[in-house]
Amino acid sequence: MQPTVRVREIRKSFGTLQAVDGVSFEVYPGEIFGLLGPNGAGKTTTIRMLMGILHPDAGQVEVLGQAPIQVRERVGYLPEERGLYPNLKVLDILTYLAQLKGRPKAWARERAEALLARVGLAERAHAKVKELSRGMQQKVQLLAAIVHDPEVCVLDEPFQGLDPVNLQLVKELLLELKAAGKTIVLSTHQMNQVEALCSRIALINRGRVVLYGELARIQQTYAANVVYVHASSPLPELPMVRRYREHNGMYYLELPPEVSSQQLLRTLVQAGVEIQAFQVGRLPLEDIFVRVVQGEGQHAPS
Amino acid sequence: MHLRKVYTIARHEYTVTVRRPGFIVLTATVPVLGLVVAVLVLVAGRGLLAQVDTLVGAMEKPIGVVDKSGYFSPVLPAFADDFQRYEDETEVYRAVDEGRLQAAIVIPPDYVQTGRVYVYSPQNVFQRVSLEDSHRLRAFLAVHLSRPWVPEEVLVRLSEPLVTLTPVASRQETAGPWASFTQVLVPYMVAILLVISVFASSGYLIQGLAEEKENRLVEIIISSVTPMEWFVGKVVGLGAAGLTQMGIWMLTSLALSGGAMLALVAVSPIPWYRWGLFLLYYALGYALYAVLQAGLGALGTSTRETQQIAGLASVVAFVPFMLSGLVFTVPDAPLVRGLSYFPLTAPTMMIFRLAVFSVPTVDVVVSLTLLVVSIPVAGWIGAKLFRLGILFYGKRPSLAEIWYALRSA
Repeated sequence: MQPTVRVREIRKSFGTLQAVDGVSFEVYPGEIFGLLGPNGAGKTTTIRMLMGILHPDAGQVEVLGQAPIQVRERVGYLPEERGLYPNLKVLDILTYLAQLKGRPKAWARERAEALLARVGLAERAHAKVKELSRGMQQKVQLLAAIVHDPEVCVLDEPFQGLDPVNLQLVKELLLELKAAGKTIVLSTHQMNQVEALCSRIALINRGRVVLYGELARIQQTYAANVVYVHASSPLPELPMVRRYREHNGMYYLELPPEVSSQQLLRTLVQAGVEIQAFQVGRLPLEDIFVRVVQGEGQHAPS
Repeated sequence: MHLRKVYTIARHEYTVTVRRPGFIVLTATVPVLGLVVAVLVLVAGRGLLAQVDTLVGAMEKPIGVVDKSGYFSPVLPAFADDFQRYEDETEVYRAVDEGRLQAAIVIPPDYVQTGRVYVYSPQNVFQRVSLEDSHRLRAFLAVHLSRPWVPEEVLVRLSEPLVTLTPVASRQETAGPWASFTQVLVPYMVAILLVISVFASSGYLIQGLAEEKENRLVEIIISSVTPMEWFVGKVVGLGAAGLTQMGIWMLTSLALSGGAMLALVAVSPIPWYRWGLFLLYYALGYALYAVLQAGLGALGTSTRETQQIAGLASVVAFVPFMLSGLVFTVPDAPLVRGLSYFPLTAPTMMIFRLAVFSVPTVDVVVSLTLLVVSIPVAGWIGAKLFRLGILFYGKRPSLAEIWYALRSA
């Protein structure tokens, strides 16, 4: 399958700062791809190169088989640095932004009205942006990125400032886009959302890809020795456990490679612990993120 | 460059700007002020006009003369309309009191020795002073004193030594008395209009430029259009808004002045093709400044800073005003010619020169060519600065960064 987005060995420096240092990844049609990384890792610079806003010093970016600036009308973008015209009406802004993407005015207006209805803002179509709540503005910003019905959406922190209800709504919207065959590049710090939505990810740290591939496989790799135990009595001292956390009787235990989960179970039973649940688990993406970023492990791109 | 996108941006900028309360208020200021002045003139001015009328009417009446020195009797025919002889003071004072005379002068017997003349006037001090300064009165005294020694026809000429002062230059021969006045006034007006337009529009350019930056829309826009499309759309849209305002001001002024402004143009001795050149210089100058200010303005981080940076550019348009003395006295001075070629000062400088003097064709051709070429060049530089400026949030690019951006074309 031909990738929708192909990034090959791109580099970008600003003065002495090497912001992006040989980043490569591919995104395939109809998938939600997570582009992750700590602050200052080079994500935004990578995204800007993906959008044709910045030109890489070296390497290549292809979107829909062409240079980004040649397909900008087929791509939607929700930047991290974003806002709207506070004194303009919501519908007018969405129509204008779709027109800038080459859509005819009437088409743009109709589509904007439909999208506003979809996110429950039909009644606010003629309100000025400054009259909307922050959450409403966030939704309008997301709509601005997709109002021209793009084939590829690059969304940087789309969940910022959303309450749980709206967060769910936006997630549904993203899944609808995915179902409609759109390709989505999602950048966020909310790892639980990445786990819920993304099939593949790339983790960038210090300008380099440090983790790349299918999320499930990555989690499997990292979760080989993680066990969740729910116990009604406290756990005894367990020298075989490398690290553990406890919350409301639920223990999260990380074992070194030489200790198996079966050995742990035996030890707990022998120690007379009242076990209510025992599960060999996946390492949360957040933990993988922290571990990788802190340099505890590195996974070669697959 | 997609012209449809440029048009969309220009239209958006234009409609947003002309709907701004600030724009509407400012645009309405001139007509409203004009109307207020017109009403004031109509209401309060009536009384004032009547007073002026009385004063002027009084000054048109003759002056009574009581001659005790013997030099002024009889009054020479050349002065008969303005000076009437009276035998004694009582009679002449009565004539003044009854309004038949503007004033009365009594020339005492020792006038030749003292030069003293007595005046009787019911009017104010101002009139006495103006009488003392009156060339007609001085001529009356001088001509009559010299009567015994000077032939009659010379006396007549002495009474009015200069009737007309006719210029020798052939192109001015047909010009009326308003010619010289309009010749200087008109280019000043056109040039001032240019500078005002540049300043007024820069305000809208700046507001329009700062808007996307302050509202963090930059990345959204440039993911849809090229910086050049955005730049051109903005300059055209915001420039058009500025011109709309100027147009409204001019039309209102025309209407309120009852066509006086048109009359001024009509009596002006400036040939029609020069008006064409004025308009051309105006349009090109406006375009150049708009393009430059937009580029420079994008470098600012806030509306205030943007305003300061863009303001720098418009100050240059003022330079020819500062040098207008030189322009009108030495129109071919090297500095004046140099500034006529320099695109930023060319419009104002050439408007001044074309109005008053015959400018060498080479100056017109060179300055127009340079001006025309400078606009795309300024546009290119402007778009580069714009591209650089829009991506810098909350921080101003350094000179090195600006230089780098211009070089990496």
